[in-house]
Amino acid sequence: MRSVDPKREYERFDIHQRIQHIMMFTSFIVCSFTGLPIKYAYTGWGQRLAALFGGADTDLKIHLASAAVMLACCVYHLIYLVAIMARKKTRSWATLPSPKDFTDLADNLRFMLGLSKQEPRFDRFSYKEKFDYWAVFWGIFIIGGSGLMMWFPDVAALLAPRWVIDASRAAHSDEAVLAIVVIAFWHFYNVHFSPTFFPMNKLWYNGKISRESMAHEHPAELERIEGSGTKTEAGFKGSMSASDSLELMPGEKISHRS
Amino acid sequence: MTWKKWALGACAALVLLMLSGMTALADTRVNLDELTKKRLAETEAINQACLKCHNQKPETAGRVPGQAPYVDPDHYRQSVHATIACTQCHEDVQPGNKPSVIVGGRELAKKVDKSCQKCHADIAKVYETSSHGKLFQEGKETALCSDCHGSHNIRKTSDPESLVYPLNSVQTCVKCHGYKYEETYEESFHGRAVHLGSLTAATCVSCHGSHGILGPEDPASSVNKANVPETCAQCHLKARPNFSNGTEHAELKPEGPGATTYWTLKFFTWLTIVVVTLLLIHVEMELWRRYQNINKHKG
Repeated sequence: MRSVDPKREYERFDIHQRIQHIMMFTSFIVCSFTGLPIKYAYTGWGQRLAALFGGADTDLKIHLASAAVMLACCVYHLIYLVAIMARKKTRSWATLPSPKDFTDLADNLRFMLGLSKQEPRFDRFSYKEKFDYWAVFWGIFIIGGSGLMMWFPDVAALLAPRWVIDASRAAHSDEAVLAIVVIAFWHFYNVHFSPTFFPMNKLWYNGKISRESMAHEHPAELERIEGSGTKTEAGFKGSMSASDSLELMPGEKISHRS
Repeated sequence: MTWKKWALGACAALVLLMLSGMTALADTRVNLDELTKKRLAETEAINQACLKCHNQKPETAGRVPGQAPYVDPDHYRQSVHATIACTQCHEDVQPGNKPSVIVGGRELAKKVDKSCQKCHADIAKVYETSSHGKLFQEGKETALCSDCHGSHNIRKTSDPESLVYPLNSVQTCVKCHGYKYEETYEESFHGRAVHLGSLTAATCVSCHGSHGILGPEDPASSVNKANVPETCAQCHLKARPNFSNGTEHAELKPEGPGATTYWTLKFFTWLTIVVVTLLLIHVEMELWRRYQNINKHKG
C-alpha cells in the first residue's frame, strides 16, 4: 500500500470554477435584492427597499447590470466546459445524473432514518451537488431567457406573442423566488450551517478540500484517485480517470499543509 | 483704422439698445405689478367675502344643513387657481348674494364644468370628442373636469399632490374604472414601476390618452387593436405588431387570455412548495441523524 500523507489537500475547484462561483453568487445576491422590490412592489418593504437602491429606475438599472454579470458567468462556464474538454482531449460526464445518484439517495435516506449503518459512498459529485448544479442550469434558462425577453421587449415582441411574453414574465420572478428559497435553506445549510462546515466551507475561496474531508464527503473519488492497490506516484496518475476528477499532477496541484 | 471706429460704434449701439430695453422692461414690470396687485386685491376681497361663510369646518364629514359647504382656504391657496376669484367658476354667485337656486353634488359639478371651458377652451374642444365628452352630451353620467382634476385642490400635473400626478393618476382613473383594471395594471411591469416611484413608466393616460380618451372599439382610439403598436412605440423602440397580438389587462384566471400566465404561476407555486418541502425534510433528517450520533457518543 502506498502511504498517503493524511494532511494532504486536493484541489477541487480550479480558478475558473471559483471565479464563476463568485460571479454567480454576487450577481445572484444583487439581482435578488433589486428584483424582490419589483415582485413585491405593492408592499411597504418593497418600496423602501427600492428606495434604498435609488428608486424604481435605478433599482432596475442595478438589476440589469447584475444580470449582465450573471449571463456573462454562464457564457464563461459554457466556454470553460468546451475548453476543458478540448484541452484534456477527453470528456467528463461527472456532473450528469447517473443511476448511482438514485441508489445513493435511497442509501442516504435509509442511513439518516437509522435503518442502515452504511453511509453512501459519494463519487466526484454527490446527488446533492448535482441537484445544486442542475438547479442553476435550469434556473438560468428560465430566468435568463425570460429576463432577456423583458430587457428587450421589442425583440421579444418580434419573436413571441403576448401570452408567451406574459407567461415568461410570471415565470421569471417565481423561479427566482424558488431559487432564493432553495439557496437560503438548502445551499446555505449544506455549505454554511451544516455542523461540518459552520461557519462556512472555504472551498469556494481556496478551491481546496482536505483528504480527511474528502474521505468523508467523496470516498469513492478519493479511492479512485489514490488507487486501491499499490501504486507509485507516476503510476497513480494513470490509474484515475483524468477527465472525471481533479487533474492531479503530482507536485503541481497537490499542496501539503505541513 | 476704420474697423476700430466701427467696432466702437457697434459696441456703443449695443449698450444703448440694452439700456433702453432694460428701461422699457423695468417700466413694464412696474405696470404689471400694479395691475397684478389691483387684480389680486379684487380677487382677495371676493374670496374673503365668500370664505366668511365657507370657512366653517363642519365637525362631522359631509354637508351640515343650514351651513355653507366648507372650503379649505389653505387647500385653495396652494392650488393653481389661487389667484382666481371664487366667482370665476361659481359664476351665478356674487359675494353677499345667495343664488336663487342652490345646487350641490353632481349638479354643481356639471354647472362648474362649463366655467372651466371659459379659460380652457382648447381642452374643452378635445374633451367634446372623447368618450367622456360624448356621454356628457348625451346627458349621461360621465367623468367631468373635476372628477379627474379635483375642485378646490387642482394642482399642476408635476405636483405630487395633484390627482393627475403619475403616481396618483391610476387611483384617479380606477375610482370609476373598477377593480379589474387596477389589479391587472398593478400586476404589469408598468404598474410595479409606478408603485416603486417611477415617473417614466406608463400610467393609464400614457396608453389611453387623457382629454381625448376613446374606447378601444373606436378606430381613432390609441388603444384600438390597429393602433396599439404605434401607441407602444411612444416609449418602446419600434411599433411591433405583436404588442397588440394579445390581451392587455388579462385577468389571471384558469380560462381566457390570462390562462397561460395563471397556470405558469400555479406551476411555479407548487414547484416551490414541493421542492422546498422535500429539501427541508432532507436537511431535518440529516440533522436528526447527527443528533442521534451525538447522543450515542455521549452514552
